[in-house]
Amino acid sequence: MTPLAPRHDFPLLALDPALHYLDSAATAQKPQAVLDALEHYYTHDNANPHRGAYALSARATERYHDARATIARFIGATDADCTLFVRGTTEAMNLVAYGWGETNLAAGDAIVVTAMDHHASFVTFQQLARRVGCEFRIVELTPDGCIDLDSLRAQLTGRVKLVAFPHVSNALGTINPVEEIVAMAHAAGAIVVCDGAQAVPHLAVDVEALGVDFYAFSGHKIGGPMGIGVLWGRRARLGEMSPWQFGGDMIEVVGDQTTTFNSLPHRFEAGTPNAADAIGLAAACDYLTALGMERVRAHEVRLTATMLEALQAMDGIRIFGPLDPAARSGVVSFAFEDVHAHDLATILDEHGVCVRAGHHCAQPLMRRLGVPATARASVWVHSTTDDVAALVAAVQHARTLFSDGAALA
Amino acid sequence: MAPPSPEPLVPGAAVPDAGVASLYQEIILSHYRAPLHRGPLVGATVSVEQQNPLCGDTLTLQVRRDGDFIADAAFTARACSITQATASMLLRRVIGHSVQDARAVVADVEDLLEQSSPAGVRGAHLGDLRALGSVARFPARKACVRLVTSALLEALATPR
Repeated sequence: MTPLAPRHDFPLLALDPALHYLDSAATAQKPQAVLDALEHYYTHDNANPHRGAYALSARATERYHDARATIARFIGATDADCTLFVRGTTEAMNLVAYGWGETNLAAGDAIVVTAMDHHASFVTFQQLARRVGCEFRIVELTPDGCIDLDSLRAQLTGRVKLVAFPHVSNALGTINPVEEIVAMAHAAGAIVVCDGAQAVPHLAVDVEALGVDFYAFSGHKIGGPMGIGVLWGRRARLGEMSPWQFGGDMIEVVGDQTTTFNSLPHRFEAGTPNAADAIGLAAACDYLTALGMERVRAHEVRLTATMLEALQAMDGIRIFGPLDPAARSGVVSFAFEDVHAHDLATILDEHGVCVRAGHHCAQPLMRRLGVPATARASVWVHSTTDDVAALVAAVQHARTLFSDGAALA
Repeated sequence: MAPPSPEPLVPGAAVPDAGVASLYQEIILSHYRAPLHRGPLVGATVSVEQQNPLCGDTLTLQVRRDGDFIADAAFTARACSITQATASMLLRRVIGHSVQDARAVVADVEDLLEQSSPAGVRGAHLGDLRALGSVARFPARKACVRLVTSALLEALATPR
């Protein structure tokens, strides 16, 4: 099987032909185009945006501005000023909690999250609830790892003001019915915060069509640099937010005792912007746009089907999340009774297969699954059936090793 | 009380070699498959629970102290083979010994992980635990050993 994107597009993979990188859900490898964009910016355009009156600074400002427009377009946002740069999904969630939550929530209100929320969302809103003294409710999951819509309905009573859930589960791969959940939450009078970290790299995302109020993702998971991400918000919601971090760039007029604040998006981007990484992220969006997100999805569905079929054939394996490849992303989490996920990952590493082993920043989910940890393999545009075959062979080796010592010889 | 020296379950199995087989030596796998001193411990004087926040593994270590001696100890764990084998081997080595001796064993295990002292020089008294020298090659797994050693140190630090 040929990959959707040639391996040589990714310098790290090109340098290590024997590496089977199946941990794209943790962080994606970087296309050469992204590295080139970073180098080009620092070599030709670097100055502090929004500051200097000289041509170089104006160019840096323009490149930064263009990057925002490209990224907004990539996620279907028509209003680029509502696309705020943050460090990543975690900071985006914290910006919502501090900027929107503390201003709009009070004792007696309720926040609803799901049992599959990543800690970036789960802990952030749990702690927000504790600070403002509101209720923190958790929507349970169905046995096959989907959000239980009956449980959601049951939680949407009283003064629910905020509902948070992932577009795609990082630990289960489940693709959630965003529009349906949004309709239910809005009918109950709540705003919706959607964690798109595991969706934007893999699916065509249109934040406006989804109907959410806030949508967050991390640049490094779509092939962009680490340390840049996006919080998109509806203009009306952003208007309800108080600035969270203060400093340069976010101000309008600073008086001795009071300050007025800048317009969107700068109001929420205090300090010198991370222009280089924004430009790198825009290059990642361009790279994926050129591949075509529909083709990315089709490629991953085929690979996921292959992986699920091969793993399901193994004795004693437990695969988490829905088994229909059309209902999940290219993330497959699994566990064995007799081989701990860490031991599995160590043995897989010896075979050149990189997978994540652990709780995937989802301890509430692990408790519900009844396991301390799972092994998680995840595919992306450069993945092939060779990678999946290497995974399966390595898992078989691990099982032999743990089931009988003779295999050591 | 003068307890006997521990005997390795598989003599000579502690020689590290290349590859994953060195980590999953038979000596480690045997302790994992049939761990010694699995809890709970009746009459424990101290109980310590430790978690590895990176992976979610948990370990509970219980000790029954008799003055400066470790009269008995046991563990329960939801953890990987390295953690469970370490607990099995470490408790086997320190039960019946003094607190001071147990601390020295932990220090020597740490040396093994960091390869700061050749196992042959100071490791002879470690018995099966010498197999943990192979973990030095797997930096990501050192925390699995330290989950146990730090739990034991904490248990021993608790006033009896």
